[in-house]
Amino acid sequence: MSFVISQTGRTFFRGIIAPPKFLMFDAYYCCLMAGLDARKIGSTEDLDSDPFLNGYPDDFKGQADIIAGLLIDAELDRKDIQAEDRASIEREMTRLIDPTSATRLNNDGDKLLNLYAAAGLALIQDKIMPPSTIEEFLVAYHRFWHVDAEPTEA
Amino acid sequence: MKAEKGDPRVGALHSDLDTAVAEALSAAIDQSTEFKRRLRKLIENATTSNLGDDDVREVIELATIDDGLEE
Amino acid sequence: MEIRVLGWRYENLRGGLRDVSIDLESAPGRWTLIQMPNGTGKTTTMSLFRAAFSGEHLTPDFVRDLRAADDVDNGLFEVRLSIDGKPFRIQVRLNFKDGTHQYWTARSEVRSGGLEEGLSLPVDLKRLLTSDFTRLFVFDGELAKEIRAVGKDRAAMAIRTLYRLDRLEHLNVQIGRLVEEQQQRAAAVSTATERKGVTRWKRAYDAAVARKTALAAEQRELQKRRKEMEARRTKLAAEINERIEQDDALKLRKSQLDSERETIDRAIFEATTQGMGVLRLPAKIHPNVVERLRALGNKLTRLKLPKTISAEFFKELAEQPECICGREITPKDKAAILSRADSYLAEDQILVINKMKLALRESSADGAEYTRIATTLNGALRDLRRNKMAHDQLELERVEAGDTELERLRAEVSQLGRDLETSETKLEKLTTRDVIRQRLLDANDQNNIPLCDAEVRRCQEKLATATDTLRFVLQSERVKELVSTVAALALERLRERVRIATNAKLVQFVPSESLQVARIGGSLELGSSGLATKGGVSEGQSLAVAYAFLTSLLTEAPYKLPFIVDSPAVSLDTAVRREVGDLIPDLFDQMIMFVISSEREGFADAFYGRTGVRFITLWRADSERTEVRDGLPFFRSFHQVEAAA
Repeated sequence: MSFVISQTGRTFFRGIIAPPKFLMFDAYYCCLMAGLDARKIGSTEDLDSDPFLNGYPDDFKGQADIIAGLLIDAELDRKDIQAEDRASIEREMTRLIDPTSATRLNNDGDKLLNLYAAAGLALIQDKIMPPSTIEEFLVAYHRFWHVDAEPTEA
Repeated sequence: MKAEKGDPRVGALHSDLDTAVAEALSAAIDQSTEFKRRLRKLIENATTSNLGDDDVREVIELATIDDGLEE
Repeated sequence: MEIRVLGWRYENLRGGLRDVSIDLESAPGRWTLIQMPNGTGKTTTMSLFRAAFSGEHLTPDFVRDLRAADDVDNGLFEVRLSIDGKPFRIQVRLNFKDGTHQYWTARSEVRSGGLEEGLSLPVDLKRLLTSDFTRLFVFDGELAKEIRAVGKDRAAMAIRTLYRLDRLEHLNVQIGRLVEEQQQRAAAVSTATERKGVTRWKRAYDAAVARKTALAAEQRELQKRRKEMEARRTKLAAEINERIEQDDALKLRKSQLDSERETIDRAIFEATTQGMGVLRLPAKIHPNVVERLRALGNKLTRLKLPKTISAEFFKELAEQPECICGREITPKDKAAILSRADSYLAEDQILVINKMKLALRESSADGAEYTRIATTLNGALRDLRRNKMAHDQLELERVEAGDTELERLRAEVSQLGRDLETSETKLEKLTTRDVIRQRLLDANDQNNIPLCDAEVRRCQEKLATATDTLRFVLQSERVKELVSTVAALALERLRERVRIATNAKLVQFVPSESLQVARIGGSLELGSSGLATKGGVSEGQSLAVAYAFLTSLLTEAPYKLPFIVDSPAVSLDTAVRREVGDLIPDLFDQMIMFVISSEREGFADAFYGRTGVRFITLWRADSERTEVRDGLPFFRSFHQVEAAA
């Protein structure tokens, strides 16, 4: 698995990427979560960059099953596969899952992660200014998820 | 056909050739003793076709050249 | 090392040589005189001897010309040799129809003496027996003239071959080939391996190193400037503090703000640390995520996914003769089962999904924690902004109260901030190793240290390759030059050695004349003194010179070679002929002399009294048949009109 985050993504998060406090993967992951939640994938052209990491960092290893589940969930929804369509659901799972991979996903699944992350980045950039501190980003990212409720804004 | 021990004309350098080698090499004052020794043997081996590319290359690489390329 | 001719044989060759065999016995005598009238194949025999020794290529015309008559398609010449006591049989097989020929060899040591295709002589001997060299001992009358002829280079060639100086020329050819190979290898790295290339890469390398030095200096300067600016900023902050603390009221407010700031910073730090921990758990980002995970888990449970039947089950089933229901599984059924099996999960996939399902259903977290932390952080950030504004307010109040110095200090701080930002950008462009950042900042080897470093290394590699290759070329030239010098010096000495030996022989050959070799260049050059001036040398004298030269030369050969000669005395006048006849017998260990009857007088008769001489007479009885007769009596008395046939 090779994670790719676009040039604009790298520039956007540049002010706060400071391992181990905030990893490049943290940036990628925040974008991925946003993309999966929106059921949107970016295009391959958005991945105009070199992979920055192979495999999950230690802090994320325990989340592999969950992230793979979220991908399948997003794919079912994006393709509008009905909850009762057992055959299609099973086919989706056979299409994406590789038990031997660290991400539990095969190449196709891994590529999809990158595409969801690319779409997520675009959504984040729409709503958030490039952050200069982690605390600022944590607040902004929370607001991004609760854009309707606005519970944190006074 | 192996060279017979008692026959100095097969294998070893002919005395005139030997002298020629000595004369040519003594004039080559820029060259190392090692190079001269190896070149002499190379010439001897050449006359009996007893040499491979690597032997030749090694001797070439021992040659001193005066060209500002040595560092 | 010794080579002796034991005999030879003809089949279907012109001159009536349809089936003629000459046997010199397994231990031939030193001298063999073969009387062959003209037209019985002396020239043919000499040519075929040369071919058998040297393995040279014969022209189709030459081969066809050897045909005995139209009724034969194939012919043969076979020589039996003893080489260091071991028997060898060499055949020249001739195909008259297409003018081709093949060499075959039988060696006692190989293939139990059976014939094998090709000329297989001992390797040292084969190297010596070039076509030209063979003419020295399978003696060609023409060669006697050529040895004296300017421009033919025969004499020098003979010396070079015999003393193996030709191997030194070969060594130089080998060196040339090694240089070419080296250049080809280097071309894979750099196309420039000539001196021009070395110069070019040296220049590029020097330029890159200079640029790297300049960039490093620029970096040091920027870092120094930054340090100075930071120091200046600290100093300014202290000065600003001092000015504020001059007012007791402001001083008090400031100390309150400072302690409040500490609290805020601590709160932000703690909340950020917690926030990052929460952020890295998908289930804690937002209630939606948990909801979706649970929904998926439940969906799978409801659909009884993953199934307990795996793809493997169906693949195994397809191979059975019958289904579990007892029905026969036809090939069509089998194909259908196999194709559908792929849409079932494999066993290990089922395991993963079950594990995933468990994780999904158990993801009990919600977004509350992140919301709490975000709220805290948001508040703290607001406090921080307020604190900064309040701090700023203190300074502004002081400025308004007329502290122009403070106003100046604040302007300087603000300018310093902008300057620092600029120099940060410059430093980043100068030092970043991140490929993406380099691309975005338009960094290249002219303005970025890591890229410049890479360029230095690239130039260094190219330069090294070009230099190594050039060095190898120059070293090769030096070695070739030395080898050529050695060959030239050796040839000079050997020529002199042979010249002295030749002249010593000439004194014996023709004591009455001062016939001397003055110099061996390409040819033998005779001294201008005495009778032997150029152009004034008779054919006989010329032959004497050639013999003297050849014997001097061949006694030095690593092999004792047989000397085979055609009509050795025919061109000599009687006086010289007798001298040659007296002298020649001692020159070689084996001599085979083809003579005609007119050579008996003064030449052949010199052998009559010797022991160990074979006398053989060969003549054409009629147009079809050639007779061979052994023995001196017949040899002496043989009379036949020359070229009777």
